[in-house]
Amino acid sequence: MLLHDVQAFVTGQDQLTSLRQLQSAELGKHKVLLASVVRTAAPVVPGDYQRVLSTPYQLLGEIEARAPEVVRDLLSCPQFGAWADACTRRLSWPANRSAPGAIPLPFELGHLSVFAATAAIRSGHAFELDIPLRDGAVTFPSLGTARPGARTPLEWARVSRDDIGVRVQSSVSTVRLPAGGAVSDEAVSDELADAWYAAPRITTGSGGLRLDVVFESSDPYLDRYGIDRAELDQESLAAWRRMIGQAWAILTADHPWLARVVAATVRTLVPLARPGPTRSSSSTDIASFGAVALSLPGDALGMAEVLVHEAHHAILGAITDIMPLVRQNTSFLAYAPWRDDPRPGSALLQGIFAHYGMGRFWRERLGIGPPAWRCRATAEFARLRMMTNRAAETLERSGVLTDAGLDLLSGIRTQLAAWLDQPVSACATEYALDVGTDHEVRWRLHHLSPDPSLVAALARAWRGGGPPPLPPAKVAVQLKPAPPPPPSANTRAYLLSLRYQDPGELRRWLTGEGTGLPGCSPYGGAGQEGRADPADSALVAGRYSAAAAGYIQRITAGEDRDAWAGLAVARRHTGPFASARLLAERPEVVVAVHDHLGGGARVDPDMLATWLAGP
Amino acid sequence: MPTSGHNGETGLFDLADLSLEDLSELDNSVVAKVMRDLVERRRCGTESTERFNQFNSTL
Repeated sequence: MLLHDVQAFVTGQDQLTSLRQLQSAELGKHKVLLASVVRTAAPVVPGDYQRVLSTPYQLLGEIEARAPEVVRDLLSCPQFGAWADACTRRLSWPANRSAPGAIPLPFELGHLSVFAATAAIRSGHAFELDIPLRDGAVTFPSLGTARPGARTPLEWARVSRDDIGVRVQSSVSTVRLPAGGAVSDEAVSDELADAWYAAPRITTGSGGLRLDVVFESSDPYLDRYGIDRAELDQESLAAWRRMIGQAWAILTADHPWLARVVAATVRTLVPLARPGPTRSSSSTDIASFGAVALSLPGDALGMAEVLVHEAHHAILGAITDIMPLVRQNTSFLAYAPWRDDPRPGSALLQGIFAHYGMGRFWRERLGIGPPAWRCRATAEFARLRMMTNRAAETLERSGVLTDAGLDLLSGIRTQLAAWLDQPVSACATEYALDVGTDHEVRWRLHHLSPDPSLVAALARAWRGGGPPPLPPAKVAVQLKPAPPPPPSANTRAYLLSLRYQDPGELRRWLTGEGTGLPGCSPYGGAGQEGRADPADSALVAGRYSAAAAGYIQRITAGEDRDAWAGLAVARRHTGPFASARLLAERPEVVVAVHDHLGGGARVDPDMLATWLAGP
Repeated sequence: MPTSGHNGETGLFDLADLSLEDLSELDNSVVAKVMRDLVERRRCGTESTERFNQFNSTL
């Protein structure tokens, strides 16, 4: 794959040949990881080697001779990549081989037999094999989970296929799989219901394009996203099916190119629990190409956006496997407008690429659908082009990209330049600026520390009644990464986004009826009031002077970093504009000087900002 | 064996088409070289502090 192909993808001119190349490269990666695992493990687990690696490898080879497409598909699956990655990590570092809390290495390595058994089941190959059970269960990728039970948390079971069918025999019981491996989740008899859970599959077609994905909520190698997975009952599964069907109809009707990108990239969905009643999460781990983990988004547009977003993460991960884009061993960390923590170069590039994909999605939606959808698309596009360009400028200047990385970023920036020239409504621009200002001010106050001697000099000048001895822009700041604040600490960002994502829900929040969960913040934070902060309410209602007064009241009442961010947003609208700009661009200096002077009510925040901003 | 076109070395594209039997007969030095390249590109298989997880919230 050449850079030319990557650039064609960035500009949307690619006919998806590059995606087929990436799929091929990922399969190649899985194979070399397998080759490495098999060779490295031989002297490490000599007594178990035959059972855990040699026998299943041989079985896979036999099946490949008869049904190569089955083995190819299985070795391509995201679980296989994750398993091979996990084994490689353990074998590469002796300390990892018996790390506390990790399962014994033979059980980890022996998971190869689960892949071999799955291939045998799918191809109708007769076999008999030992497989590892975890908590009495085993998940066959894309088929389902058998739960024969076990006497111990880790146990070897015997799985076989004979003339009657497939059975999994543990120390406790024997589970017979439905004929054909039960790819369907609909025809499972009652007696099987507890012992066999068929992986739900969604196949939906629209506009001649087909999406075929399987839900995996039990596979141990797809539990790597830092958020609990969601168990799907019939009701929740129906909700997922409905939303994915609607999202796919949107993608195929209005974004056929992006729909093809998603269909070629996403084959497995890992349902996650929602982190809060009004908040969703999604994640891609590039060791497991093809899997997207996500909680159920708020609506079909959100689902379509998430699929596009995560597909782009997966694609850039696969490109990274082929060509180095970021120099290693740099200490570079920078602001990413979509994250609360400072990000290294590789992560910043990932975010830029994924948000660029989202920007493309919303740009294509401009002028489509009912008025509420159009308003949302305009605001999302305005927000995404701004934040993506902001991060791209930072990364381009950083010096951490390789030549290939710079070429990729250059292609994105060329597209962004055209996007930035595209007129959007003033309202959309204001929404984008408000959200962006709020986030960046909060980030700067959390992670940036101004030079204390210069802060002291400014404080002395304030006390002396003279002008500032230097402009705030000349105050050196040091990045001191702090633990990211919990999402529940920022209700305002959620409310600001509701202005264009769901104005009806915003109205409900402002009247204390939001989310229908009394006593919960939008994020479900415990002990918080169900109503928004009065200053935040005034801000999102467009009563900016009242909002500013509310934030100043909070600041003078005591240390309140969040209120400073709110004040920066409010002053964007009320002025004075010199101090508003300073509050947005160098808030850490204003707050540090304020703190140095004793904080609280001793110094008026507006007067201090105006003085620092200078004439 | 076909090559990837990069200095005539075996690359990921070539490995994708190898059968498991051929894979097992691959020279150790070839496996080691491709693994080194992978590690270099993404620190795959090492104790990286960056898990490459990309979380995205609605905010």
